Amino acid sequence: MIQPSIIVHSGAGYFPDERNASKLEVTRSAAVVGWETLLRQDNVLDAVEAAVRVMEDNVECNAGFGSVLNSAGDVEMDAMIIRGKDLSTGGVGGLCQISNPISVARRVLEKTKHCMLAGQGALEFAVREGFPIVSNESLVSPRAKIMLEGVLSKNIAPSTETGSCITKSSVEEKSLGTVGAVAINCRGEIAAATSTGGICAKMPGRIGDTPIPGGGTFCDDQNCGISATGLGESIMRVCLSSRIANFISNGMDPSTACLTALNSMTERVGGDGGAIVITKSGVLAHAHNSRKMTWASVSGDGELRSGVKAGEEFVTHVVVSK
Amino acid sequence: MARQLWRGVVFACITFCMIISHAVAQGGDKILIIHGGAGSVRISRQFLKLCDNYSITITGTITPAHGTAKKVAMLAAIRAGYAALQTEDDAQLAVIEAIKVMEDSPAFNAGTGSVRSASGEVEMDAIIINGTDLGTGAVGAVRHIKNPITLARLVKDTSEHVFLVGYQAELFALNSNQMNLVPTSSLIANWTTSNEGWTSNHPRKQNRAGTVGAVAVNSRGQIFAGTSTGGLSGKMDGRVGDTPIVGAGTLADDEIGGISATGWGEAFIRYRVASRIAGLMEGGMNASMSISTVLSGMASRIQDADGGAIAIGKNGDIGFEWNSEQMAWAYSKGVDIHYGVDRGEDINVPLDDSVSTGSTTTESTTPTTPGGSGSVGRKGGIFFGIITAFIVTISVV
Repeated sequence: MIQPSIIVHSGAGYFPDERNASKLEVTRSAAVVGWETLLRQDNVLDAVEAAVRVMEDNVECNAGFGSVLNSAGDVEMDAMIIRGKDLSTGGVGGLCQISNPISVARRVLEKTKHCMLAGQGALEFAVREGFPIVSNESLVSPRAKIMLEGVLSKNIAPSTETGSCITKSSVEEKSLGTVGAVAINCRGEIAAATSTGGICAKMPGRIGDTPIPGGGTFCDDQNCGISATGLGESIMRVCLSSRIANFISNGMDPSTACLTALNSMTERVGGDGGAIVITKSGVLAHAHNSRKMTWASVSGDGELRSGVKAGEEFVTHVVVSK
Repeated sequence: MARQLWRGVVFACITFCMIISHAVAQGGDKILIIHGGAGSVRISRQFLKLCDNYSITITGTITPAHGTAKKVAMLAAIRAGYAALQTEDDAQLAVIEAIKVMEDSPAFNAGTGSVRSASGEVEMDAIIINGTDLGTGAVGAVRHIKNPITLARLVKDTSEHVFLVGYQAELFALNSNQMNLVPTSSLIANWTTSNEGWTSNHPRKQNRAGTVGAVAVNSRGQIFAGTSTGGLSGKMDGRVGDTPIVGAGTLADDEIGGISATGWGEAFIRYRVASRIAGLMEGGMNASMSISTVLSGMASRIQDADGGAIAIGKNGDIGFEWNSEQMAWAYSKGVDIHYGVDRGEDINVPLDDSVSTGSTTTESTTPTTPGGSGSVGRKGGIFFGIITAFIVTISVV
């Protein structure tokens, strides 16, 4: 019998230590919300969607509100959700003016025969499905604006080693992060979800790894569920989560599988990142070769684990609200 | 003193032989393989019933006239690609030139001749991958581009990104000053008008003409793979299929091989067909068997999933397999071209034959069409060098 569990992340990259607390807080809260949803509804899609929505709604995360901006100053988001039972997939790429792209991605999965809708077509679908259009400004955070200004004024390339834009200016934080969640229920059904604003100053229309099955998101009940974060271009080129999944199905323990695949990616194409995993037998794992990755998980009797730096693990208990 | 002199001579001979063998080993086979789409055949009863309701007749195959048009275009494509490979030893050019011919031909569901979306638009996906450094360029749901494969290349070579979609990708094309936008009407071929009325409410849209793709390897073992498509007829606007998704419909890695697939895109995305084929090839399975195995796996995991793929392994072995009724394919290796559309068909013509008809040989009707044999050039050269060195050493010392 598998313990229902959920693990979430709010991005791999670098940010100064002053931000550790706020990143941990939102990540833990997302894990708890996902956990409660899992217990209440026993539906892994519901659980990962709920967890991701918490992070999309929070300014601390590079998803939904608080997303980094493209070179035109707009918020353009990618998201994907996968049901491991039948490999059903729903994704959006380059979606604008919607608060919760992960929910649109889920609608693509459940209401269409397609796996991915992009650009204008994705927005039109969201509108047809009754998602309210919000102004671009309502998704733009002050931090995101400052970051973009920093990049554009210094003419710095948007792609960097830490997976998000780095500025040499005095901007305090250097990276926000893609968000993701993986959940498993007692029957071994797994779902994985990822959502992001992409990389700062990206070209409009640029899609990253997030809505690419086998890239930033992976899920198959016969193997495992994965959500990855890092430099999207690198992750796509090496099919990072496919690689992690292959290592796992060949017997490698999931943590080592993540690190091996990440290091191999860094060596072959540059960039770094991290990933969270739940295997088909319910083993939770996380690893990153970037400087930091904020993660949190809940499983068993409500044990909440979380961390930011490599090797770090805080353990508390969740008080489930009735 | 004499002994030392002999040792020196032997050493020089062995070194000389190793250099020669290395030089010979440099000359690997130049191979180009292309496909012009796999048509679907497993039509469910439910789907047929739906077609009855719409008074639409479905056949599982393309018409003979269409088939002939495809074959002629495939020959032109393979010759164009092969010329690039022969004269420039450039696998990327081979892939692009071959795909451009098929994009420009209205007989394929790519570029001109692409199927229409739900709103009647032509929205195309394309990708090109460099197997040496995994450099990738992809476009999704782009309109108004005559040759999406060239736009994909532009993304790879002139942007810091891998994947651009929608009208922003068109802006990128315009800003590059290397291509113009074309009106949708110029991309619409006669045969696509017969698909009017199809919507994405149908269980699965039959794709009669097919995505196009190419994989090439040059004499240095550098691999490129590319794919281009108009997607599914009646698809929702903005829908992106498997073609521009690395690991779904296309993959290239000098350490493994190159793959391009065609079929019901959503199944190829969900099953990560190209990644799985690459995984099997990496484990030592030949290209043909790898493709067949994955297609069977896909069909058993996902209902009504079918299609086909072409592949070249890193050692030069060729595979082209499909579990749909047909797949238009062609390859050139050495001075021969082989091509076919129907199962069991294998037409062989010399490369420089200016007439499209050549000697026709039909192979056995077993579904597994044999892939090409392994590359002799590289391994043979090294072997020759070692034997020579050995013989020299034995005879001299």
